[in-house]
Amino acid sequence: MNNIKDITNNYALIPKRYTYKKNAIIIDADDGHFVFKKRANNNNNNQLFKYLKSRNFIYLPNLIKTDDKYDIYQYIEDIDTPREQRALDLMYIIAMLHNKTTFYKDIDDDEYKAIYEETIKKIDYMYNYYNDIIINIEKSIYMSPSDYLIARNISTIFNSIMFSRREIEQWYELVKDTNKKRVVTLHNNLDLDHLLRNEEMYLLSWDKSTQGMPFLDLLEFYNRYALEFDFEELFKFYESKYPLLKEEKLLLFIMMSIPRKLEYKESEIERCGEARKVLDYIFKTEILITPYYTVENKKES
Amino acid sequence: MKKIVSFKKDIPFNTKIGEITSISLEHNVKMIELDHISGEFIVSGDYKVTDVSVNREPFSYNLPFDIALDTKYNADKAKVEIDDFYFEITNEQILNVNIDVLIDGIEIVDDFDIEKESEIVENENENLQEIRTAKDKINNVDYLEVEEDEIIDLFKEIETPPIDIEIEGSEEKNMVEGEKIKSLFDSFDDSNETFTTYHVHIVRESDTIDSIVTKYNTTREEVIAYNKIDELKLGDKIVIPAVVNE
Repeated sequence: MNNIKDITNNYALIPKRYTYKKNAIIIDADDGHFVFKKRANNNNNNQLFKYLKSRNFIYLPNLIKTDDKYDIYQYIEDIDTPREQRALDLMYIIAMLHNKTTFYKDIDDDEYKAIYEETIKKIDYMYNYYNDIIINIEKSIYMSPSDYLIARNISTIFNSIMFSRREIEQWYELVKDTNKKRVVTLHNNLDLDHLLRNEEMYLLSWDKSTQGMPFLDLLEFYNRYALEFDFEELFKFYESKYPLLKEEKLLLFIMMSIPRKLEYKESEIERCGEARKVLDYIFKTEILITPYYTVENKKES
Repeated sequence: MKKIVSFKKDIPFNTKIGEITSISLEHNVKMIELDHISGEFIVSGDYKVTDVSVNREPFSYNLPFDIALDTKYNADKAKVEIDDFYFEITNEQILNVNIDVLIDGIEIVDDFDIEKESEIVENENENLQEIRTAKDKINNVDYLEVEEDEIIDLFKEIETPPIDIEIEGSEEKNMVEGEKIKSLFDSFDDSNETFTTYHVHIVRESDTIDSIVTKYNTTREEVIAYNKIDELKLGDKIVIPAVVNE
């Protein structure tokens, strides 16, 4: 843990209240209200913020000072808003971020091939993983409730994997002759807690920010909140501000359709819960993606 | 001088604790009179009952804090601050809070060295003929924290004088004038120029008679001769004689 006396001494603060919130230390002092965030290695938020401001992206907290140890921000009071509204606001801010930081990068043949091969490897791994699970389940005389849940829905799991396998081939056909890639600044750590709502909106926690294809932020957000929100409306809202390219949307759907591994849980009831989560995610993804594969939509594309 | 007092408290919650999403610390702890620090820590924030909970439940607890300072400290200019604050969740339902309270600006009365308070070496004056009474010595040497009557009675019992009571590092020698008392040391060979030292040991938690005997290289009988060991408790002072030849 940080020694908070070191902070108050080094920055000459007379504190009235200390708050820990995830990795941040919030100190309410006589001079004001400040947030101390420990700096990650090689992280330069100062430079990043300057770049984003130069691109007219304004939804940033006020970075007062940065030194070897801490980034120091002005504290921002957060107004309590419904989570669905926050999710919509976050979609808006991310769309603005991607919109304002877009550029096209020259790439060689190998870059898309590397993505293709990496994705194939992941899909094949997942196929073998669930294949092993069902073989083991079928060997047992009496299935446990969690095993029965997986066994009853194994065809859904495999269908999702096969969908990804087919579509990655389609995707590679689409991009293999392309020598340009659309790149944006990614936040790479989207969380509703990282959005502050006051008179303005502020997006926090830029430590993992990087550059890449825009769908990656959407994928991360979806993986985190798939079971909580209706993503159909959120994606439509995002695309109204910043439409995804065909190959970006396709790759997003492929990544969303690859089921994740089952986390080990000790008790049977927790194992059932875990299996239920994986299956619900697959069902929700199927519902989300299906409209894009209607005959009309296919004709349009 | 600074002192850090570590304050720990286990706060049981009515529900399980999946995650503490935020936690704040405020306090109104301050000096009350010159030897008393009192007040409350207010620990508040919000938490999730399980890791996957969406809702956050608020919590707030007032933790009273009250300590008395030893009279050897002068706390006129003392101030109380928080040095550090950390927490952890134990047994899924208990919030364990650790608050390090920094008391800054306290002074020790009469240059008493706190680190050596468990062991005071007393040296007798080389000239055994000039002996001061214990009572006068005590009046001049408050930092010993030994009760006056105790010393006097002790010396009466063993018919030996104390002596110059000198703290290590202290330049002041407290010579006490008074009547000559028949000394145990009269029987010693003066030509050896011996002097008697007395150790005053303050009993700590891990001390036993045997450990004290070993530490000071004396015998159980000698310790018993100088002290009532039947009712020894933590913080009691015991006198251990020793003889050193120069």
